[in-house]
Amino acid sequence: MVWITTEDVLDAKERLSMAKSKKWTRRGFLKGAGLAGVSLSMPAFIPSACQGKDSRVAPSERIVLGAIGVGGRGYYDLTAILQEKDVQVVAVCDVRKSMRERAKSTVDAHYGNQDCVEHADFRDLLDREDIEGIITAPGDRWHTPISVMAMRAGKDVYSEKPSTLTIAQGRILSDVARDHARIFQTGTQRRSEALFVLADELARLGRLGEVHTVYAHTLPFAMHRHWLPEAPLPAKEDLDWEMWLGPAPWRPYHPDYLNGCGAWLDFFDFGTGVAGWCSHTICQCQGVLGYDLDSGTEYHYPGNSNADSFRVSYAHGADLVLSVGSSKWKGSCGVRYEGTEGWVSMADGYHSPEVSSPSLLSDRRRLVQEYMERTRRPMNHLRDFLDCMRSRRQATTHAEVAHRSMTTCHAINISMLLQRDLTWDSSKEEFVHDEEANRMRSRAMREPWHM
Amino acid sequence: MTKKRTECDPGPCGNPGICSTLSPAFPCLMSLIIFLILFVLFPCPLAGEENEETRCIEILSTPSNENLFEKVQACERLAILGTDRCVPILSSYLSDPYLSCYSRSCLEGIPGPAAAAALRRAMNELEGELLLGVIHSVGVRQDAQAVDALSLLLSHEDLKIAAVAASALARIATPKVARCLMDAFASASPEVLLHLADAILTCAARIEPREAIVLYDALCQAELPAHLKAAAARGAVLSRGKEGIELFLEFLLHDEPQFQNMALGLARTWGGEEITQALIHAMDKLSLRDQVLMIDVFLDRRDALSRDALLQTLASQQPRLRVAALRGLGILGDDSCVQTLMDHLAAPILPEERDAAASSLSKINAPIDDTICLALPHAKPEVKIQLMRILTQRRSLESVPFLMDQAREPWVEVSLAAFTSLAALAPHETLPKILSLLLSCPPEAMDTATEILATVASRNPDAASRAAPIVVFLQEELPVRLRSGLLKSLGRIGNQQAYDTLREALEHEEKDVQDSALRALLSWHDTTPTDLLLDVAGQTKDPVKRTLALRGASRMIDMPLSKCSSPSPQLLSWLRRMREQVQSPEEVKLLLSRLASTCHPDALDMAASLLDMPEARQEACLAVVQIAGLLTSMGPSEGVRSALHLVSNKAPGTPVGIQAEELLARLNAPMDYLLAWQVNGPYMQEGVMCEDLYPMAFGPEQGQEPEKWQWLIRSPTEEGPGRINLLQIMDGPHRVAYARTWLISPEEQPARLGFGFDDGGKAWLNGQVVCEANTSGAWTKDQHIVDVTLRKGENLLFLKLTQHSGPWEFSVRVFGLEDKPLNGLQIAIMEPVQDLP
Repeated sequence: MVWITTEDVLDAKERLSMAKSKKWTRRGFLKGAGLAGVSLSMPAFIPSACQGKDSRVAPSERIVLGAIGVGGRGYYDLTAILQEKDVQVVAVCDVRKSMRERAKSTVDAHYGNQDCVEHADFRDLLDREDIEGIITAPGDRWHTPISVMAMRAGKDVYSEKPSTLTIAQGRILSDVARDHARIFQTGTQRRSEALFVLADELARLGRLGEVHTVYAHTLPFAMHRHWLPEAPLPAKEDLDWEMWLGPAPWRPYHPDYLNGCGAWLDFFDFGTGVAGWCSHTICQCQGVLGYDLDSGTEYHYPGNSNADSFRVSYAHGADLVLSVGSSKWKGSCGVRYEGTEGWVSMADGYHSPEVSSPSLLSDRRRLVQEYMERTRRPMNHLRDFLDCMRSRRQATTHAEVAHRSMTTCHAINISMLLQRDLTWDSSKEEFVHDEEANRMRSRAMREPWHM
Repeated sequence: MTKKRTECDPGPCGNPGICSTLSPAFPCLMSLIIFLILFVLFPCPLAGEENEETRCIEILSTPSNENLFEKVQACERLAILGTDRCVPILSSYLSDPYLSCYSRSCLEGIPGPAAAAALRRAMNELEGELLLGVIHSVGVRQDAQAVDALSLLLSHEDLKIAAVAASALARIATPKVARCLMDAFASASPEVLLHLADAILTCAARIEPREAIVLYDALCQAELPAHLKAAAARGAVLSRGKEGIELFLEFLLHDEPQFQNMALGLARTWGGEEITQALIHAMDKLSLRDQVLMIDVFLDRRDALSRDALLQTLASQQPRLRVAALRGLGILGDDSCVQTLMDHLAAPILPEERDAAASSLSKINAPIDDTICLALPHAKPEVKIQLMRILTQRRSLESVPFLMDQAREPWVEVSLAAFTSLAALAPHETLPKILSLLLSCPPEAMDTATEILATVASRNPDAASRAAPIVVFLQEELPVRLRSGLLKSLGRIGNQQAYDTLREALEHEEKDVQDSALRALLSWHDTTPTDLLLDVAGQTKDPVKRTLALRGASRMIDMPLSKCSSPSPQLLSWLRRMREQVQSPEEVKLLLSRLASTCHPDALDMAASLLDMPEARQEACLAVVQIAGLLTSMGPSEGVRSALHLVSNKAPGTPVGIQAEELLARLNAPMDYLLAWQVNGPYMQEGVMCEDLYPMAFGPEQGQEPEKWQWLIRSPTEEGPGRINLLQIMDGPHRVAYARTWLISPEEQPARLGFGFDDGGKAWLNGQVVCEANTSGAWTKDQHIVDVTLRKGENLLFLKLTQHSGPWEFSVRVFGLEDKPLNGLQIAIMEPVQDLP
């Protein structure tokens, strides 16, 4: 870790706020050479351990954030990020009035004031120059459009998973993050959880021998196209249905679409098929296989309707197999890595990974500690995002990682919908000799939305 | 299962693969016949899809809004399989507010000029939001023929249309598009300027770098928000390649935070030693704080120059910088850095530098152990200690001989540190050498030195021979203090040879040696010395020694006990011996604490006999109630009743007295949960998961009586429903266990059994299967309810219990039909013969 004092940061933050308050002016970029002792004014990295047990970082030193989509998971993320002492949440946004009121109430109670602003339209929140970053969880259909618009508006983004609705969206997301030099993190938080990291390290460090098969937990595949029967629209100030739909094609309103993420998740227009859980588990597996910046090559349709036993082959020979049931683990979002010399399973709720031999866990704490020291990453996904906002280092699951793991998920979905095997060319980012599959890499966005 | 479409050029026969094998010499009629035969046998894969496309077109051709959802479905199919044939009908829906998006989904993907032309036409015909959608779709198709039309829209009065047009042009991204965008940018109104800037950025990223430079430079010079200029600045740098380094440095040193952030991010990812070199040269122009930040950047770059940069930084006058660089060397350093780090360890300017150097030396991923070892003899004492800690953290086995040398050092702290490191590293074969060190190490280090002996000995895979080197060494003439320390280490080793040696030492002429031997036996790991300790307690006249011995015996008696396990005859014998020997209140309380965990009527009697000792009455009452609670689970008995009455009389109104009365009430209540079981297991098979173990029959299920059934008994006063937790006595994932108990019924009667399993279970009543559940999941009360008929007399209830992972528990509840209690039932666990563990 690089240790920087609070005084340095205070100085930097003051200069940043001064810079922002100026109306932007023309600058010659070729000027300014030979400026001795010029400082990088972006708030620099403050390890949380520096701040003491109960200390709060002064408001002027905090990262200013907004939250877009503060229902279910979004509300959870909001409460989690409020625990970070160097963050100031100043605005919340949701198309549902009850959700944004609840979020505002929570934020105000945390800070002991009434300063949090509610927005019904996320574009108003993105227009705010004081907001440096957003956390967003408005539903799969919105994740990429909002992330892209936010990054184009100069904000860093923490987007819940699944971060993309299509393969084409993923490419745009990654390109925008790169071209606009923005920090992006997708909410695959198990990449920053100690026990999952331990399981991953056992595989990466060769403790299992050569890893030949990885298993990823999935919810049963479902991408329904039917419409629920039309119901009377609520008042717009309570729910803006047009905004809720956003870029998804029009369909009549029904309240059941809004009963938690499980309600809309199984619909083709709103959800992402296997990516409900596979956005986590495939991201985990690909990281272990060394395919963070790549995707699977061969997609083997299993001949069933729920994607159980769907097999993806990777270029170097390993296979990824989806598992709907929990025969290889107990709990949700399970993964299992099998090698020539052992295996490890891990899922939510475990106190310790399951291993083929207890000796694999003999130095568990040291493995995780060494991982943290080697990568300089905390075991906290949101914290990693915040640290990267300050240091401008790419986050653990940055946009390209998110795009590539989601590409594998989307390819699986397409294979399930077409009910056939597929072959993917990672360098061209297209299916080999399959026009129908290639058409399914993207979908039209409902007007007026565009990227 | 593969059903792959291929590019199909049917030709005359409908199947080019087959056609190509036919000779053109065949007469046309024959060709036609063959074609018909082949068409029936090998229908063209496109025929079905053509029909489907036709059906979709027909659906879409019906009057509008009559069948909206059907039309949506038709569009969804055409999005995948549509051809030019469906373009006209799809185009007609571009103006439909509900179906435009579905229509565009198709037109975006249908290859060929027709779809593109349809969208271009619609651009001229539509307005408002529908036009926005069409423009966007034109961009998705990257239709170069639309560039002129889109360029005209850049000056549209509707800002949104101009913005989408810019975005669409950016996706097409040709040199012509770049020119159009730049021309528009030059004269754009402020409202549309940002959208054009964004489009130019997107376009620039997609064209040749040498063409993109102009675009990026223009944006950098323009009046734009800082974040857009920073994005352009990034492009301006990268499009110049290595010639952009100077520009890059300008941005790094700029006073605009957005430029600096961009440059900082780029510094981490822009590869190449030239970049690293440039960053190194720029360091001294940065503030101290930012130089520290730059060190973090070097840790991401990870090239040899980055490491050299850290080494150079060590010469800085700024301590914070030196500390950061020292820490960084733990990640980037190699064997060339070792001497430098050791120099900072030995002669730091600040303590933080020493700590940082030590931390890095312990982490460097390179073979540096021998360098450190060779430096050990010549280092100052305080440095030696640090180096030995580093070697321990590096788990350096090759350092053991060097550590032994240091153990002889006259400096006590050095000797202690060496022994501490040897405890972590020394193989068991070195034990004789370590023992000989004890004669030459500083006296102050002797205690630590003897403490490590058991740790080192434990690495010997042959448990029986672990004590041998120490036993041999004890035959030498040794100072008493050393002899006592060695005896203590034998107590920790805990094998037969160690026990025999300690037993002999109890008779040593030196009292100190006797005491050391006794104390070593007190901490024995199993029950082997119990009788010996009880003998000592009975024979000694020294009250302190008696109490010590009883305390040791009590600790050992506790070992095989769990509050729910069956006490063996040996255990009961020890308790009785202890009962005979206890004198002081402290000793009585020691005994009562053991009795309280013993589920046996004899234990109840012993506890009840101590109710009359005033100094221990409270403890005696508690013990009686606890034992009675366990025995109650097996059904009512007069012994239990009378003991509980005693407590109730001697401690009326107190919590323990009330508890006694509650138990008395329960003795009269009908049975509900079955709380007393015999349990055997676990069984497993390597690589076989829980659900596949379920159908496999292990010993008890095959009628084989196992060696040992353990008791699992739950007191009825415990909180919560009557779940029996198997993890108290066995664990491990993917296992099978068996449990049994006997229900004694006064008559033949119908009953209901409610089973709850975590994870799976199978139940037999009197040999008949009554419940089967090969499941995985949490326990719930009465998960499975079955109706049975109890025989008069004994009814054997036999369970098979499977474990996946996590909790492992079960419950069985017995009740009458319509959930009424059954009267007169008793439960019994046959008294097994138990060996000592």
